[in-house]
Amino acid sequence: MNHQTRSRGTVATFAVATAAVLVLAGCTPRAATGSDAQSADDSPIVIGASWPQSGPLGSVAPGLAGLEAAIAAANEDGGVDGREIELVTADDAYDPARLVENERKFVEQDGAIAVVNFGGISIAGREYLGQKQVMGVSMAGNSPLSDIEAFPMQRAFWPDVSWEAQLQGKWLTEHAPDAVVGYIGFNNDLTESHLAGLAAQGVTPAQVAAVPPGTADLSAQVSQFQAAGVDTVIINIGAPTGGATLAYMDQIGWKPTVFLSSTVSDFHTVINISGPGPVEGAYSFEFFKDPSDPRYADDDVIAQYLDDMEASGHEKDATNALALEGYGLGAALVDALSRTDSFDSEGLLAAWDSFDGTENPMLRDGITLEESSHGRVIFQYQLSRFDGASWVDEGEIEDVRELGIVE
Amino acid sequence: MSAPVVHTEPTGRATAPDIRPRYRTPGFWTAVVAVAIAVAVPFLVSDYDLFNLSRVAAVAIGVASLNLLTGFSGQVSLGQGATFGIGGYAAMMAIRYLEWPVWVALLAAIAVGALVGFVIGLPAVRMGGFNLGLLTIVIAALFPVLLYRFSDFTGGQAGVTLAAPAFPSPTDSLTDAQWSYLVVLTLLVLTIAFLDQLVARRTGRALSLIRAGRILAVSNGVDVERLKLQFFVISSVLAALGGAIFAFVLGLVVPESYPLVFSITLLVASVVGGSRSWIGAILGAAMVVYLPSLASSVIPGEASAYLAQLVFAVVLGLCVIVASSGIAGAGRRLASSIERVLRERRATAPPTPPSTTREEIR
Repeated sequence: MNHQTRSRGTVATFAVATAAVLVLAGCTPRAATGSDAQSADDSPIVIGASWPQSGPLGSVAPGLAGLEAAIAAANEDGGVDGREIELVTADDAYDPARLVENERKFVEQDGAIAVVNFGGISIAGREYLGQKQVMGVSMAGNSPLSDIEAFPMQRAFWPDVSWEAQLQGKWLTEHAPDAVVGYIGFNNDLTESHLAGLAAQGVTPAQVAAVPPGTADLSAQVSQFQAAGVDTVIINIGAPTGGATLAYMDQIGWKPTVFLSSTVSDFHTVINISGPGPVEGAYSFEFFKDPSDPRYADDDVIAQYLDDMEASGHEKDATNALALEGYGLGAALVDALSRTDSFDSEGLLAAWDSFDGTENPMLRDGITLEESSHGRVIFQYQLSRFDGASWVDEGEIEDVRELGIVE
Repeated sequence: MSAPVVHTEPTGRATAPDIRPRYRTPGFWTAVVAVAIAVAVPFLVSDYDLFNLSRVAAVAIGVASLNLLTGFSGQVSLGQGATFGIGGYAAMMAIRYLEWPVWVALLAAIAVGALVGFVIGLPAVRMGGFNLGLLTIVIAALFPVLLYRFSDFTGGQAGVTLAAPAFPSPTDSLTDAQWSYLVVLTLLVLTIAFLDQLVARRTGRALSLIRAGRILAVSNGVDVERLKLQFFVISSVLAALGGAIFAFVLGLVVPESYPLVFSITLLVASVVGGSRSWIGAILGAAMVVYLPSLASSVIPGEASAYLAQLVFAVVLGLCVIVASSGIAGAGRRLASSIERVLRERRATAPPTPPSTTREEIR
């Protein structure tokens, strides 16, 4: 080889070696993965949270803020059995592939004993968590997440949306048997789950508008609903769609009976967007409190929640119901950890499955966390109606187990 | 093929034409060093890092397939992400529903990729002009919609998942992640070796003529349409292969992974990495895999998505304006500059007695 060739080779080889060193410097050495650190008695209990903080469902990010506030408050109180809870978080942008990537990091690098996440994309991570025998908890109502026989490591915090749909169907059958129903929801399996629940009570919507997350303009679908003679609209879609649709319906003077699904009936998701007028008279089967609802202004539990949100630096999200739900999820995890026999996935899962009338800061008075069935821990709802300023209870709390909806 | 005629030149004499066997070229030894480091990596870093590096390798195959198309044959595809996804779905469904072995599923993905490439490429190449780009946009836009439309078949939003790792380790001394990485690395090296040979041969010279001008190519006896179609099909095959490997590494295929913007991202990765460089394909793939996570770790929240887009846009703009051959090309130019400086320093240094040089000893 001549000098020119040799120096070119040297430079190229040096470049490759430098690039390799840079890549390796950004990686974690094999010996330093989190699973080893978990074995020590005083080491933190690691929980991973993959949550949408950007993308089409970036609006649910306050849920993570609430979760962080609950964990921070627990650590402030001394942790669990003297052990700190370490919450490692990552944005999945509501992309299932990024969710799985995050889960792998939590499990393989951080040594997480449980992974929490938001929404139906949790389905994508079930196989992996099952293979690694790590517990997953999702804040989601999609019915597929109730399949704990096939995916025994997966649980869900929200109740199965099909149960609430059955309550709506039951109400319609009893109070408006001739209703012509229109349904607005996401173009995913949440809608399939909801429609299955309605069908179980003999209600088949005449019109269905299933749209992607983030859609704001449903004027064409609303016109179609009107033309089809729809007189009852069930809305199960997040911000900004639900609020924008109700505002449009109000603008054109169309006033059908409206059912808002529990998880999209709060002020931040709907009422603050549409204004209170368009929501007046709407129904909802609720199970959690809304910190923006004036009727909880003097609630002691909400006051504690607000303090914890402020202490953890999340006061700007404090009035968002999703933040309270995240806080509730964090409180449930802390409660399960406080009862577990062992600080691992198996122990946490066993404790999670054995709630027994456990109070939770996000739940409405009279509703508690119960022993797991179908991977769910909440079974009670309170029918409420919006009076133009606040949600007002109608009748008694209903338990889907007692109604035969859940076996 | 005649035997190579290369020998050490006596100092001070004119050099003969530099025709050396491949193993004596700097590129060969650089590649050997790179592969040696890559093979050592699984014993140094965590399984999670290996998972990400495996994803880089899989995406790199997809970007390399685009490099073949854009960088070497002068065609533009805005649907490579969809072909990547089609390969992923074909392989995963073959395993999940037909219970085919992994390697047969990979062959199925290759076959589907070839079919897709032929079906899209045939009319587009015949129509000429921008039609290939336009047709591929249609495919990229339609693909996720079709995945949702036929959700009974494709799994809809939940997609298709694997119940067990696609590349389980055959030995206790390697974890699944280590084994998977080595398998994917091998497939990447084989792909690049294949592509390198492909563009270095007669077809490569024919492609250069096509890029220079259609009339020039035709006047030199090149069947332009046929060659373009061949390369579009090969590119689609490799994209599908990369997609299948990516799906195996992730253990999952879902519609959200393959929107139109993913196809555009692959094209940007090709340009940013260097569309006429296989190393550039790996660099571009690394950006695709690592940039979103890095952005969200730097600026959590909604701004992170915009930061990733901003970085991509800035780097793309820089590449278009000041480094048209991408990061790989810029790196090559930098290496040449360093080499020139070294050579000039050597030229100005006092001459070394011939009897003491290492070359003479050899």
